[in-house]
Amino acid sequence: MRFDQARSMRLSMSWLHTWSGLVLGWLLFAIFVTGTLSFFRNEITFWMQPELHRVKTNGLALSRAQEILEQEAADSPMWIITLPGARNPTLGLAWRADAPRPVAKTTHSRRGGEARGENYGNRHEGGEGRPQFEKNNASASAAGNTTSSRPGMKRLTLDPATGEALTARETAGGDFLYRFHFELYGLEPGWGRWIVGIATMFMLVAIVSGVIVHRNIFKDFFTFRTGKGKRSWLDAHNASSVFSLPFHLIITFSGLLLLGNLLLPSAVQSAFQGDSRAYMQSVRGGNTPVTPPSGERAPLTDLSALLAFTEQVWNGQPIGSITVNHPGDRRATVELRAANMDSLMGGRGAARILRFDGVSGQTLDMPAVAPPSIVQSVWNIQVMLHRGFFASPVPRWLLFLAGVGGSLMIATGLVMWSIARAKAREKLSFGHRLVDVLNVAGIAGLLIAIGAHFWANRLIPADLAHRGDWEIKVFFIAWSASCIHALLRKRKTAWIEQLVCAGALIAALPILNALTGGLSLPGSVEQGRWLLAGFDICALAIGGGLLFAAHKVMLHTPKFRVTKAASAIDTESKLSFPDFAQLQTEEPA
Amino acid sequence: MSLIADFLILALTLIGFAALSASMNRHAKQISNRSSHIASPGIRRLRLMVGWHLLALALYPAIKTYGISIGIAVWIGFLAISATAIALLLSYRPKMLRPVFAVTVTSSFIAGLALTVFARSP
Repeated sequence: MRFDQARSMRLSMSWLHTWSGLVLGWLLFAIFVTGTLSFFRNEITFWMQPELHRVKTNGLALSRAQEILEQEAADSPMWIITLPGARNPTLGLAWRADAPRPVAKTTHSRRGGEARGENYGNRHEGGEGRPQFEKNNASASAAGNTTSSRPGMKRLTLDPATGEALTARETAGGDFLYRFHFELYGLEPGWGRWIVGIATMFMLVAIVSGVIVHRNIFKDFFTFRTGKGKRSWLDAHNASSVFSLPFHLIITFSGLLLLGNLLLPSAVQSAFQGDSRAYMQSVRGGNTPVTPPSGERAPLTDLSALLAFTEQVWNGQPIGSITVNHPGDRRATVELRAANMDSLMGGRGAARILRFDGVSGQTLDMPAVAPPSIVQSVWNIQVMLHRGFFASPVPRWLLFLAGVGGSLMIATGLVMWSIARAKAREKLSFGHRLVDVLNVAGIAGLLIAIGAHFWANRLIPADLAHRGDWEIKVFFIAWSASCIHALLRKRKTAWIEQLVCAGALIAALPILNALTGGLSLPGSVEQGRWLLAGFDICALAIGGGLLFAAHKVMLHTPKFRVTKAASAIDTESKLSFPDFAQLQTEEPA
Repeated sequence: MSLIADFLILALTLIGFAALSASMNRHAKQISNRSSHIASPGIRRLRLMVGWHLLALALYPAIKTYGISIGIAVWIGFLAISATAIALLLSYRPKMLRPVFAVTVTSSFIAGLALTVFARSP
């Protein structure tokens, strides 16, 4: 495109779409893929700890858990008991282990110690997450079964039926993929988020300009013409974009919103005098002060009775977690929190809560929480949607599938850049070759890296120190190897070999799982452990899909032969490279 | 209960998109039994109206089951799946669309009926 000449709106937008999508496209693909997997971060972490696969699920040893906590954490100001649920079958204990601080009136937020200003990286999320990975915490691997993933919090995983303490291997788990999704890896804290934020901005530009460029959203809605070269790629790109367009828009915009504090710090500077904690509290709302302890000892009531009572009141709605404030004190309170949310508008605090007096077991009134303001509601909806916190299985799977669609959208877009320009060019320019190499390494290579990450999880000895770090190293070693491989091989062979490699690595995960101590796929299906079966089935499907793609690439023969004459014509008409606007207007042959 | 509602949302969006695609010239040709025959403009306009209305109607069980905010998100998710399914059918098995359509209509009718009965009984 020439900038010194008048041009149409569509042509400008087409140029913008092409280049905003390309420049950070590979990074965006990685962000999308790891983000999509992050919807199942707990499930992935659970899969990566085969020691936990065979926990018994018949029965709930809550009294045993209470005994353990009373022994281990009698002086702790707060306990959190995470109940086994659809997303994690173990019973999790966590307690705050730091010395009791002089208690100010608002020291403890309702969500426990979360108002610490670590806005995005919260390890304990609404009772759902059970993080076991901390890259900077050397003590985590040495501390045996009591791991502390955040300074001040101690954790213990129990078999839900027997109450036995379980020792699982240290693993980077799904948390590595989750954190890579928004802050990459190994960079100074702020830098990764800045880079992701800039990439997200490019994504938003690409989406909006893409909608403008797309000439016939309605007329071509269902159109997918197979076996027509770049026309088919364009159709596939259009379909994967348009069908989940609301998802792409919201996930991108809310991603920016999540990083908004960093990208546009002036709001915090001016309205809150730079106090980002006050800002976060105001945005999230709903920090209920906990009554200070009296200092008098009194035995805690039986938690099992409270659980049974709540189950009855809530009519079968699953309960996610139990929080005990000031256990052992006369003013102890117990809060039972529902596992799923009813609405997105209230944010994380929107889960149903039932509060009890910790000594008498009487129900207490919840302190009145002001309903969220409109600004808070908008924030909550966006953030909750982006993180998929709320979700019972069906909405979560829908988010996951939409994420897969988004990944396909980026991948087809990247490939199309190359294909639309590949016409009869004998010798590739440096830029074109670079895009081809990055396409192979950025798309197939990333999937190889993820597959290798899961393999490393099972093949690195379970008791190796810092094995979580090694899993991450294997991820990056595999990715680097795929970059070098893509540089050395021709485009088509590189694609085939890397797709086969990624497909084989991922499709073989269920077998690896069965061989290295995990619960095998037939076993997990038979016992109805859908959490594990889901991982294995997904691995089979994705791996199979990649092998099929490799097969299709292998069968592909270009329609035109590259000749000297053709490439001469091409250099003459250098300026009129095919672009979206032109492609869109072409009538199908 | 919730699964029946999920199925109903999926079925309604499938029928809706099938009707929408059948209202378009290009796809009406693909679906038609006789290759030269295309449904009349009147019929196609009817299909268009039915399609849009069914897509909107699918929002009702979604909101009823999941509440307004999550319901809309779920509805959008099912729209994406159904549109993908119809587009793939049209590309690879256009003749399958009619039987799929018939099965979905029948089963969604049953699902809707089941939901109403469940909703009535306490």
